[in-house]
Amino acid sequence: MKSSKLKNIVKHNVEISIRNKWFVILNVLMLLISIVSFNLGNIKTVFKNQNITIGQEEKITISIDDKIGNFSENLGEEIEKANLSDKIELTIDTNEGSYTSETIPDNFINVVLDEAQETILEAKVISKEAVNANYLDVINSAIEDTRNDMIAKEYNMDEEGMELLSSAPSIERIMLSVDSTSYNESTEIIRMVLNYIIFFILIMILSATASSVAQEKNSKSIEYVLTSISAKDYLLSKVISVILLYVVQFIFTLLYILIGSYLSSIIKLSSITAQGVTLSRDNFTSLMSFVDGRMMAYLAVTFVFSLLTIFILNVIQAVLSSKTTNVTEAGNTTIILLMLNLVLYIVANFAIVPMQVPSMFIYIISCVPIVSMYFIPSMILLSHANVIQVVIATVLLIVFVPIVLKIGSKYFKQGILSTSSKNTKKNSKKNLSEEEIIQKKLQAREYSKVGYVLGFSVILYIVISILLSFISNFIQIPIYQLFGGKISEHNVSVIMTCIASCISLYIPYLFLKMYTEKAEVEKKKASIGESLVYVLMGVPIITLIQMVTTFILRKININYNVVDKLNLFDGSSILSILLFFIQIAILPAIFEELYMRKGVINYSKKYGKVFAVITSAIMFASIHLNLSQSIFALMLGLAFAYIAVKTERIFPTMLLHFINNGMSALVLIFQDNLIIVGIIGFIFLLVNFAGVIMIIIKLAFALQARKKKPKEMKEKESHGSLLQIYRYMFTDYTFIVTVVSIVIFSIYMEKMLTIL
Amino acid sequence: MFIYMLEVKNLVKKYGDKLAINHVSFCVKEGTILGLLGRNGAGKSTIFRCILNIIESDEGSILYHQNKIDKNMMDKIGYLPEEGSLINSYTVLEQCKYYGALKSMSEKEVKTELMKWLKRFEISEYIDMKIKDLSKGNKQKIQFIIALLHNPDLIILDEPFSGLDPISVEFFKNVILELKKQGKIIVFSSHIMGHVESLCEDILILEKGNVLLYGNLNEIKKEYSNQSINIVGKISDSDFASICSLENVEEITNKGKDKYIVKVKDPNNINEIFKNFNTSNILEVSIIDISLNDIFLDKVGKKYEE
Repeated sequence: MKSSKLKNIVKHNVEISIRNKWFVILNVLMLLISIVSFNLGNIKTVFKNQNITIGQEEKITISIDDKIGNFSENLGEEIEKANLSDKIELTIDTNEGSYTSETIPDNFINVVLDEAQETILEAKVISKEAVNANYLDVINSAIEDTRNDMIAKEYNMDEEGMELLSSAPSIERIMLSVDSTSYNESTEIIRMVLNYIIFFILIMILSATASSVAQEKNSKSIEYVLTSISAKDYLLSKVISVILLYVVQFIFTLLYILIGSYLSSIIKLSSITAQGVTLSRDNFTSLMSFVDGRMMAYLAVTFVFSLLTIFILNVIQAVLSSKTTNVTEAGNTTIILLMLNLVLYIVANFAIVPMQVPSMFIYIISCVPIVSMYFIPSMILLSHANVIQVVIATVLLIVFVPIVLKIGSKYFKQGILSTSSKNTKKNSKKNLSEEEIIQKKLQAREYSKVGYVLGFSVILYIVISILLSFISNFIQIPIYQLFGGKISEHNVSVIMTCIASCISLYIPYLFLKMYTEKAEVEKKKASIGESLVYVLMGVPIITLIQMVTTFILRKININYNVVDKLNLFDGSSILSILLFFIQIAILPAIFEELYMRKGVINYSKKYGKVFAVITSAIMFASIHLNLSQSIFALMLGLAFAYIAVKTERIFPTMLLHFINNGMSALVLIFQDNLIIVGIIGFIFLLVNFAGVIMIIIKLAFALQARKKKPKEMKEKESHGSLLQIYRYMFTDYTFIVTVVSIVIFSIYMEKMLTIL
Repeated sequence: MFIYMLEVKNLVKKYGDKLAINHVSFCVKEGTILGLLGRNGAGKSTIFRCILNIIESDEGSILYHQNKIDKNMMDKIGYLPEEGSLINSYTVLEQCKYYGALKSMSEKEVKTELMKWLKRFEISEYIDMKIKDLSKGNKQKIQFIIALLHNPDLIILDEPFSGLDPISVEFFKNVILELKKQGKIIVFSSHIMGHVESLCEDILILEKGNVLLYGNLNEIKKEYSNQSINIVGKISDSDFASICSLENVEEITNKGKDKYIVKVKDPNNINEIFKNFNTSNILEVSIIDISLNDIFLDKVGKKYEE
């Protein structure tokens, strides 16, 4: 009774699919295509007067500009030989090859021949577009003939001697371990075509399984179905019906080919001259000529292996799509399987090459089910296979089928009823209340989103800056021309770089702003005076960081200045100096601070001030994308972020950033003028001194304040620990991509900078 | 005598560590209807799925005619799932053929049975219509028909009346009563008390997988109604005090002007109360006829407060 149910369902499924209107439309289309392709010649003769061209069937004109004399004769002979005389027309030309793409006619080849010093003959073959290789071959051999004639004349050789000279020696390659006699081009073609067909069938079958499983799951019809048959039977019925459907489709396709060729032969019999591809008896015998024992074995093995493998793949596909929630997702799972198959197909094509004995590794790999479909038949065809291997592969494959079915049906049932609940099991060990578990889950979600937001902002920055640098490379010269040379090319590129860096920093800032919630409590901004105090204290800290960085970089043996390396400074005019100052000192101070200190900190502050400071520093370091700047930026970022969090203002760090970058810019600008450099250094020293005093005073005050006040009770924070947040951030895919790409870019930049 | 029935004993089902059903037992005899009541997520559908072998229970047994339910018995069971189980791209006939095939029916049988039922529900013109073009109520009718198509002996209906207009509800009820007369075993769930009240002999109230109440509906009602008395009229303060002091009286509440509800412990000793009306002006004394809705609210509400 059970088996009859299975049969009934399979019957029903196949019937429904075949009588579906899309199946009918597809098949009608395929029938039409096969008829048209088999009768292309006939159709063309019917429409002959309308001058329909398909491909390069058009008549070709070869115009000859010959300074030697006997080329047209040779060409004529070659054309005769190649049986192309009704397609080629010869003319004499004196245009000397001065055609342009506008003046040269269609289907026209111009051949110019002239004597040359070393190569004896110099030839040009000019045409508007690519030319059919048949015609080119004819021309090439005619040119060769002409050259041979010339050589014969020059060295007084007779024709026989010349022919001997130009003929190739006969070399026979014999490999004793490989039977190469049965290998020829047609076997290769058959192998290719068969693989394509299998792949095509795979696409259709897998998507059919995916969609039908997804449909039944989403419509909940599965619940009704499972009241009548087991999940295993249901899975089996799905897979079998889908395979049957495509057997039917395969038979239909064969029928169409037969109909097409039959029609073509009828038309041929009624004596209309046809030139299309026809499966006449001659063709058929030539097709059968290489169908020897090995070929038959190949076809049989391919059939068995592909059938079993497609069955297995279908079961896997059904299980995968049972885990999805809609048809689109199910389609995506199909792509996963197809990708796997594509990779296997390509690997098989690379690994199994005619006349080359594969390695032991490939023999072992080829026995694995699914993989074997691509390896074993090809190896049999190219006589690489041995009996033990084939037997092992076959046995493994056959054993694999019920195993897959059994395991698959278990997961299939689970997926299709969506009853699995791993997460709750995991939490049950920790004895958490339901509310805590939910709270934890929500928290994990939220932190993962933090990873997405911060990660994507960095991706935005990287992608936009790369994109803009490409664009500016393209429009740099037109803009330079637009200004009529009033601004030097270097300055134009600096301006473009400035604009690019502004945009690429501002857009991530806007992105972060979109996600930043407005603070519920009014921010306690520091007064301007207080902020200035922070700026003053910041200066010696910058100096300290600079010294520490220099020390570290010396220790790890990285010693270069990025500004120097990239050759950014050009002191040729006042404008360029001004632009340099803007590029180095002003713009980064504004936009990097806006992105890093305002955007990142405002966004991440609600997960704790410590998190905000550390995150902003790490991101600040990472967007520099090279080690020497990153180490400096990391420490600077920590200090700046701390100041930004303390003052709740953006201008102090902007000012500090300006002082830091401006100092090095000024030193570069006035590098030749020692007096000014000295003055700058002196002022900087004074500011540093003032800053140190300020820090000492502040520290003293802070110590006193601590003595007076007992320790304040720490507010209980609603967010998780720092490590927890970072751990969950790594559950976001975007964040992982960001980290990986930063690492890769940094390594790349490091290499670039050391090479420069 | 051998009685044909469905017997569920100590059924337990866990999803992960969440208890979906906690030791549920009941039995349904031939020709009777059991109504399952409960709030959303109380475990009604889970019980049905366990009976139907769609999911496996963790503990307990389900016996049908003294045998364990297995796949061979499935042709004798009709099921109406709560959520739509119809495939949108099929026509009504195709859908019924598919599900008929699952119940070992021939195409011809499916066709004749389907026509019979469609005529009965006055929707014969829908036979060739695609499922996606049907209204929610008509889909429900088709599902109902599919559940009955193969003339099952055990019929399980999960929320059969959802999405139906009142006339269709009456149709359904008549069909269900007819099936009951034919001696079928029927289990259905609903959260509309009126439907349960008018159809079922037995009820089972579930809350978060636990059985709150199980038994014959009339008996339960009797038990409940006996416990309270409705009094309309003026009760003097002295009478009020003396009634309160009675051992049989559990609670007396004043429900608005001149309306009192007296809860008693032993319904057989109501006379005691009447003896205490010395100076009161009583207009009406009645035993409260409680509806299933009240019982449900009382039971589930209580549980909720805990």
